[in-house]
Amino acid sequence: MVRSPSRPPPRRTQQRSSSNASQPLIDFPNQSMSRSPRSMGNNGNPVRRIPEFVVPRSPAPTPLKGRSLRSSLKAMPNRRPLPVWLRALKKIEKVSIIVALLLVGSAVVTYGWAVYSQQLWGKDYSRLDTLRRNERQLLKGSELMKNDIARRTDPKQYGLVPRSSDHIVVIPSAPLRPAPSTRNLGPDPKAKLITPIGY
Amino acid sequence: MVRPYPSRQRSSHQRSLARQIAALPEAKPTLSRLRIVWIMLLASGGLLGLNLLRLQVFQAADLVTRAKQQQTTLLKPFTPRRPVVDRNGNAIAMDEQVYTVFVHPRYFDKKSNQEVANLLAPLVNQNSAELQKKFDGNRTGIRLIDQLEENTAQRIKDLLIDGIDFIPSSRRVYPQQDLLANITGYVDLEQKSQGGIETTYEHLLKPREKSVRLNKTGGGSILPEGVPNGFVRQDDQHLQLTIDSRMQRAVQEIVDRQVSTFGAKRGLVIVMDSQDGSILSMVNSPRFDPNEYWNVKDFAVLKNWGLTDLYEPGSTFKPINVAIALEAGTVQLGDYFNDSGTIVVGGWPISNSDNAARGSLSLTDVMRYSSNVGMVRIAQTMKPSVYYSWLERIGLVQFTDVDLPFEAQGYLKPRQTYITSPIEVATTAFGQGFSITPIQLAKLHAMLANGGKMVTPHVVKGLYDSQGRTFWEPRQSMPKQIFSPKNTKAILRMMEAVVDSGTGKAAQVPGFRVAGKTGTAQKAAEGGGGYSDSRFITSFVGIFPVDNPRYVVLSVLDEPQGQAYGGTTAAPIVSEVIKVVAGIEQLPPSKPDP
Repeated sequence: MVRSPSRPPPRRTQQRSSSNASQPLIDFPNQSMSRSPRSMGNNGNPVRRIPEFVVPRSPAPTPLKGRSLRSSLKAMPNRRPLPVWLRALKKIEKVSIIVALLLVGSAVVTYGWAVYSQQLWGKDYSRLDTLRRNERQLLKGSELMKNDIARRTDPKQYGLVPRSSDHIVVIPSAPLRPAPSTRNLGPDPKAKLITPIGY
Repeated sequence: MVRPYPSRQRSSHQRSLARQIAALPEAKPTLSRLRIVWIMLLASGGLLGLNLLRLQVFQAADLVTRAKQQQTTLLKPFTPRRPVVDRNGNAIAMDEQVYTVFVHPRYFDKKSNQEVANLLAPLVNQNSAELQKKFDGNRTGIRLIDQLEENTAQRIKDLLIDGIDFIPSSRRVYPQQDLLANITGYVDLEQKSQGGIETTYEHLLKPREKSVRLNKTGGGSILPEGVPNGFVRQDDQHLQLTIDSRMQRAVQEIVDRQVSTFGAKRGLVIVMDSQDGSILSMVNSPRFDPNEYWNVKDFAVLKNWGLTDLYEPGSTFKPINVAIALEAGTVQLGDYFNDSGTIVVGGWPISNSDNAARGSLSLTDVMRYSSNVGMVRIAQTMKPSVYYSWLERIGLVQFTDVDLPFEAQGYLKPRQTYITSPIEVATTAFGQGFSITPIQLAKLHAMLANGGKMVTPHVVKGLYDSQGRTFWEPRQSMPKQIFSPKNTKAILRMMEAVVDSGTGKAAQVPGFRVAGKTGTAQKAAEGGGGYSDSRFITSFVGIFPVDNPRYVVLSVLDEPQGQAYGGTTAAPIVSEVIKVVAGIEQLPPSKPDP
């Protein structure tokens, strides 16, 4: 902050001290103000530290010997509820912080995943390529082998012959048996009539 | 903040230096000085601008292409031509990836030419000393090897030698070698199909080439961003044939043996299922290996002459004529015909092949003895125009529409000739004077076997995936009913008599009722005009089992040596083939007619 030369520091201090006197420094504690009393309390000799141009209008504060200023100036509870818009803003702030954090986190994860998944894709693609190649070679190998066996070896040497009509075993169907007579069979007296209970 | 030297520590030397600096005359800003600085700044700014212009305007196109080359890669996955399998799922044709390898010794870097030669020599089956000589002779672009297999290529890649280029390409492999070459045809090194189903089903077999341009990282790995959906997917569809390769192999052995036994120029067997026209086996002899088609010396073996070559079917056509006469209603089943041994038609004498005169013959006997005279009399019962219409109706001059390429169309003389010159009807009656392909004859006989329906012969069952789901099947139109089942049944009984006690005894198969007809046709004399006395085409067509007719077996031998007849050369082949077919199809032995 640039101090304008037109405003002499004494007035400022006066204002400050006057506000100090009238208000109990609760609502808007000014750092510079709270610092000076603290330093005063520590030193125990406040008057010497105050520049000469500071002229307290009100009588000097009561002696502070034995107790610190902080304990004497208790922040009073503000009973006035905050305005609705302010509370809403505060809530929005909280929520937006969470949302922002989530977004940043998800962006990091997404980016990582995007890079990682591409790597995975590349790896899997080459694996797929290898598998396809293996499949082709296995198929080719087995068919070539089949052909080679069929062509080179003399099947008869192993007692193998091409399947022909000579090797068909036909079992003639058995002659029809007369069906047992079913005419005089009434209902079996021993058989219980089953009545399903569920119906 | 720099702390000043404590005055106590200041050396005298430093103090003198300070004094000297203070004594220097103070640099004064002059106008010329300002100008120089200003000009320098302006000039360097201008130079930068010019460079920018050069990069952004004049060299832009070139730089963009170079950047693209470095940052992108063309991902072109190997999409094989679809495989072909037989009826039982055995692979008949499949694609593999092969590489043409180029070597650039100037990029070998850490390895010496000798080292690389020693490493590569065993993998490419070349002498390492010769390889080294090659490497020493040329700095770049040495074509090391063509058609290198994937496995070996991978092993070379694993050696991590710089300066080796692999250009991928596809190669069609036919693991069964020559077994089905006449059906599959082959695919040449330029990936062009040559004959067979490779040609007819090009649209189903040829994959759609997929490629996509992708970015790659500095490390060279591919970034899959921008890969279209389904790009990686490859379908597992295959074209399935109706051919049974096991049957094909067994039949092939029979044909080869008989062709060499009879010293024939070539042989052919077609096994057809008459119910739907599917061809179970089609064997040519001699054959070629589609894996090494460039080694073929005689180009005639490249064609499937079962459907590309016309021949005069001879007596094998007689049952068709009888069926036509029965269907036309000019001949009844109980009719008898006088076989006088010789008949003169239009001034031309026609006699039986054995010159016998058997007198009154029933229809069955005409077939049994293959009586030419009897057949002429049967054909003469019809008006020539009616007879000609029937020949057209049975599709003699049409294509069979078999799904193999380069089929020849049957040849029949024009209608007017038939009507005006009676000799045409007479010669056609015993299967001469017109020409058809063997597959056409098999199709005609399939009509007799299946109760008179005209089916379309075919070798492809359909396109399926590994789960057995159908993606395509040939659309078979409703077969036309040409002959009545009653007549075809009667004709089969006549043909059965041929095998039982006629000219086709050699085609008998114990346990099975076989109907058949022999055929011995003279080949046209070389130089045109008339027939040759020494060159024959013998054939036999068999239909079995007669009690439940289904399979048609046609065997044709071209120019068997000596006194060859269909009944002595082709019939034994059919007998053996029927045994094989019955065994593979697990047919129960035939039963006599009730």
